[in-house]
Amino acid sequence: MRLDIQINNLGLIGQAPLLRDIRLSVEAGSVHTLMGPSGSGKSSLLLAIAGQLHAPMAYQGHIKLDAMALDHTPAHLRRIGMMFQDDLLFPQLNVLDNLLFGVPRHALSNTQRTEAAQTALAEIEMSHKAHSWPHQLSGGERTRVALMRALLAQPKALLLDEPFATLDADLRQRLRKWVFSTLKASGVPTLVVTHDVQDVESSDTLTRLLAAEPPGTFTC
Amino acid sequence: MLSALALALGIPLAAALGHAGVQGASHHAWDTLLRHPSTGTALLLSLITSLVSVVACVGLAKWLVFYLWVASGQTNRSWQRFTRWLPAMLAMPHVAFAIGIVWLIAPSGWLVRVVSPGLTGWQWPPDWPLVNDAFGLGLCAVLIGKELPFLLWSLATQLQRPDMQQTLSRAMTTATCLGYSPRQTWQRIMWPMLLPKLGWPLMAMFAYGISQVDMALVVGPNQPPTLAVLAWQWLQDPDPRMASAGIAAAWLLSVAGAACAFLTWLAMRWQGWQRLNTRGHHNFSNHVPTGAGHTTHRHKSAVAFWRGFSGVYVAIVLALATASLTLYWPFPNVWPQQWHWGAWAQALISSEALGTTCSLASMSSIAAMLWTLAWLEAAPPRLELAIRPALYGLLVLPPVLWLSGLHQAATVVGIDASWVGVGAAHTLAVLPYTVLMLSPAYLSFDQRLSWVSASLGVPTWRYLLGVKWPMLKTAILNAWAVGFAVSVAQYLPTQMLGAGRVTTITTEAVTLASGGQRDTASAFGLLQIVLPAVAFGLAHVWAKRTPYTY
Repeated sequence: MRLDIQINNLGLIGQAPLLRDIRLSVEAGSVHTLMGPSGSGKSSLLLAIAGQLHAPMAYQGHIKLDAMALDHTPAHLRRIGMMFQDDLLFPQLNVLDNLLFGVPRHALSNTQRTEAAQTALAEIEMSHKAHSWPHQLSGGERTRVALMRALLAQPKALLLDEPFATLDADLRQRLRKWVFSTLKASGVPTLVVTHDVQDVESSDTLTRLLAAEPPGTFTC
Repeated sequence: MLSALALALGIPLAAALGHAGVQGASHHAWDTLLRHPSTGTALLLSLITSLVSVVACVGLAKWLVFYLWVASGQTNRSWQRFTRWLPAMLAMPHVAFAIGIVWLIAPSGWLVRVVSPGLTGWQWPPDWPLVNDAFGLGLCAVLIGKELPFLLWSLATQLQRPDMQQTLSRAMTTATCLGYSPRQTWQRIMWPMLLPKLGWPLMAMFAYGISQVDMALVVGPNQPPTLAVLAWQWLQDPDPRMASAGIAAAWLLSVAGAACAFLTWLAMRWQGWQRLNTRGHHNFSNHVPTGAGHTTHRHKSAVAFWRGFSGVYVAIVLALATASLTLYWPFPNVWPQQWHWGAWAQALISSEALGTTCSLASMSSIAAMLWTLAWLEAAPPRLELAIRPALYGLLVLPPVLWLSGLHQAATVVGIDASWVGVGAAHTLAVLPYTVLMLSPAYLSFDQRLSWVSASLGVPTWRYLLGVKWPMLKTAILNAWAVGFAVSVAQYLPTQMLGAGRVTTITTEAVTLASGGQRDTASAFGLLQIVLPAVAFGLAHVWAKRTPYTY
């Protein structure tokens, strides 16, 4: 089976070393969860994969996507989507425009892009909210729009940083089921940072970050 | 107490606008105004110079902030260095800036001298209309030079807010993950998020551009001048018909300004702009990488531009200092042939202007500060917000309008052509700035400290004097220094309420500069810079001295 995200001997350094010797791989169409104590560098690892790590943080080692090294690729050319616990819908764009913002233009006319966005809206049963503003949506609706926007950008991989942390238990359970099944169906390798055991149970594979030597560093 | 404070602000304002309204309602006033051959051109000049300068400032600010803040990591040293100089630039009075620019860019100015005759072959100054040109290009350049730091300061204030930093940083992360380059993200997402927050500063810039008189007198067109200058000249006319036409002109400026602001507001609210941001060329597979070298080159260009821009401010101070000491300076010599102290002697000894300036600035800044402290302390937040439009109105209404009304009111009370009347006008002009400067720190002060203090049985006055105001000392002193600087720079309030009998260094500087007296005008221009600098220095020293004890 093809390995889509591959991380070899990755070390993360801030003011002091934080992560060392991280190895993990995420297969196409699978959801891989990453657990670890607070401050262990889980979110920073996601930022490193997405190419969003800023000074003073830096990483050593190699990150590969489809066997291609990403280490020197600018963030916006990596084709790695990201979702946070805050959905980060752009407040000045309505729902449809938020989705359109994610649809690549190449090979698609504006009409086709609009159709793609409207189809995605129908898929998440929110066609009637196309012209609503993000602040008019419920938490679950915002999460669905944010995921759809990330998928419409046709990413090669998706990174989720505690995506359900702000939702109530019932909604979290329903959305988790929908999000994970959507992601598996899309064939995109997905890495999820979480503290929630139920996320782990719904995922395919798990990596745990553990305390290592010297104190303050973590490995898997 | 609240009523007294509201009346202290409301009565002069109502009297000023009431008088201006009554005079502006005259049919003859409008008839005279609309039939005057210069009205149309003057109005067009006012609108175009103001619009061009605002649009240019917005474009430059957008470009600079992208390369100095967004593209270089958002929290970097070059941005901190960049913002550190903004208050110093803001503190330079408009008139001093205009006089300095004239000495720099005039046909016989320093810049031409530096390259003559070596590069140009000129033995005489070229016959170029660089200053007082009929199209207002010189005025536009001066407005851009003085307004750009204000817009950048407003932007920096927004960018320093933790919530805004987080929002923009996350927008950048999200859009980058969707395949947009940092430049595209800035253009399509971050800038549209920031722009609505700049509504008031932009409106203030536009209002200042169309209504300012002092800079236009020094560097603006004069055949005809801008409408604000025309209104000011008519208001001085002994013929009552022309005086009322002056007030009508001030109302016309207000209406034109309000119409432009409304159109801009409508345009900003138009959803089509946002929709455009979701269309167009972007991402992943069709993106042409620009390369690190290209970005670095652009970043260096932005840094170089900013250094050059800051250099203009330094050059202005040098030009004013040199010109103030010049006795004989033939063209094309780079430096004067003969120096003298005559201009300084005139400015410091044989003039009451310096003393009057200091006393007016001290009185008006302290009075405005006391009003602001009392208001912020006593007014409930809702009332505080409700009175903001009146204060902002003083900033966006053409001064020639409310000052003409205030002059009429002062005549009725019998304080026109006096220090008291001028002081009242200065206080009104200073008040919006002290409120704007102090209210963020004051309103974000932790209210729980007052609860703790009350629970310990401490009376309110001891809490204010011993806890709250000492803790807000830096903000209070900075607001006072800003008020002092604003008062020093006032031209129209002094001229209109003083009726020519009260002179300050600013009125002297404008009169001498428009009369072409290079050395004395420069001395007064430099004094305009020195006095606020002393006030800011004192505020800085006092803020650092004697940590509060209780």
